[in-house]
Amino acid sequence: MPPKSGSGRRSCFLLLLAALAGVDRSQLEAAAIDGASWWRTFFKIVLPAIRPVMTIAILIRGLDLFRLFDIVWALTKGGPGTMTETISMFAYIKGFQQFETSYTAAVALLVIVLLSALLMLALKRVELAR
Amino acid sequence: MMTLGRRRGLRLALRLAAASALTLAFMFPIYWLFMISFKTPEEIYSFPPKWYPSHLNFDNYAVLFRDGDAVTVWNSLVVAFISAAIAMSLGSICAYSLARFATGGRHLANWIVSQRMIPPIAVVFPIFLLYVWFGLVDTYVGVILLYTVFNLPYVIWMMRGYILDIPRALEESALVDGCNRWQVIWRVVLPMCRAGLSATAIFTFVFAWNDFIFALVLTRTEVATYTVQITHYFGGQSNFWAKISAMSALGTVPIFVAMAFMQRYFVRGISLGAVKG
Repeated sequence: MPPKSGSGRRSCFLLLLAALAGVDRSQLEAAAIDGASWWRTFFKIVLPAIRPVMTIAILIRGLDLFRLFDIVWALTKGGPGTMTETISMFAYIKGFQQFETSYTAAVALLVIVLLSALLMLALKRVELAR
Repeated sequence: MMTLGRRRGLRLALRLAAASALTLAFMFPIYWLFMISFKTPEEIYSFPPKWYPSHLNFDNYAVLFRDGDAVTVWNSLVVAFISAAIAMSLGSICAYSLARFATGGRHLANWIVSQRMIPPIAVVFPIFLLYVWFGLVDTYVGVILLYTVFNLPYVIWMMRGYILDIPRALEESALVDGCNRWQVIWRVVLPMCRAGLSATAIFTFVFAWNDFIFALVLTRTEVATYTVQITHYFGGQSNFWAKISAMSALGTVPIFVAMAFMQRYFVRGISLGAVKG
C-alpha cells in the first residue's frame, strides 16, 4: 500500500524518520547480542527494513524534482542558452512565450505518459518487495 | 586509559556537536535571508560579507509597502487559506464516503490519488485556454478553484487513510444512539482524526502558498501571489536583493506561524499516516 504522506520537500525526511522508528527492535537486539558491528547491523537489518519506504520517498522526491520549475526560473530562466532548462520550463516557454499550442500539448502528453509508466514500474516494485 | 563512563561522555559530546553543526548548517540560509532583508545596500554587497546588519533597518520592507507590492502576500494568504478550507471540507466528506461505503469500487481511490501525481506543467496550458474562455484569468475565483481542484485528490487520499483507522464500532454506537450520518461525521469522525486533519490542512495550505507555476500563468496583476512577485525583482534595479529578501521573509513568516500553531498535531499526524502504510 502506498504511503499516505506525500508532497513537499521535508516529507521525505518525515517518511524516513517514521520508517526508522518502525524498525523491529528485537532484531537489532539480536544482532547486538550476536556481536554484529554497527555497519553490519545498518546494512543487513535497518536498510532492508526501510527499503520500501525509501523507494517511495525517492519516487516522491524524484517526481517533485522532475517538475522543477520555480527555482530555475527565478535564478537562470533556463540560461545560459538552454543549459539549465527543465522539461517544465521547456513546455512553458513553448506554450506561453511562443504560443505553439499543439506542440505544447504534445510535450505535456509525453510527460504524462512517461511519468505514468515510471510510476507504475516503481509502484509494482514496491508491491513486490512487500 | 579512558574509563567507560568518560568514553560514553565523550561520545555523547561528539554526537551533540555533530547535531548542532548540522542544525546550524540547515538554519543558516534562513538566518541569512532575514539578515539580508535588514541590511542596507552597501552592507549587502560588502566584502567580506557582514554576518549581521549594523542596526535593524526596515527600509526594505517599507519600500515593499510603499510600492503596494506587499499586497501580493495578502493575495497569497487569501487564496491559500480559502482553497485549503474548501478542499478540506469537500475532501473529508468525500473521503468518508470512500472509506465507509467504498463508493465507486475498490480502485476509485487509487485513481483519485493518481491525479495528484500529474506534473502541473502538463495540465496548466489547457487550463489556461479554458480560463481564457471563461474569463477566469487573474481572478480570485479562478485561482482558488484551481488550487482546490489540485489539492482535493491529496486531501481525499490522506483523509481516507485516517478515517479507515477509526474503529467502525464507535460510529455504529453513535448511529444506534440516534445520530444521523452528518452528526456522526461532525461529532465522531472529525474529532477522532484531528491530528490528520491538521497535517493535511497544513500541506494543502503550503501547496497553494508555495505554488509558482499556476500563479505565474493564471495571474497578472489583480491577484498576483508573492511567489510571482519575487521573480519579477530578479535582475531588476541595482538593489534587487534587498527587495527579494524582504519579500521572501514576508512570505516565510506565515508558514512559521502556521507551523507553530499546528506543530503538535503535525508531526503526529504525519508519522501516524506514514507508519501505517
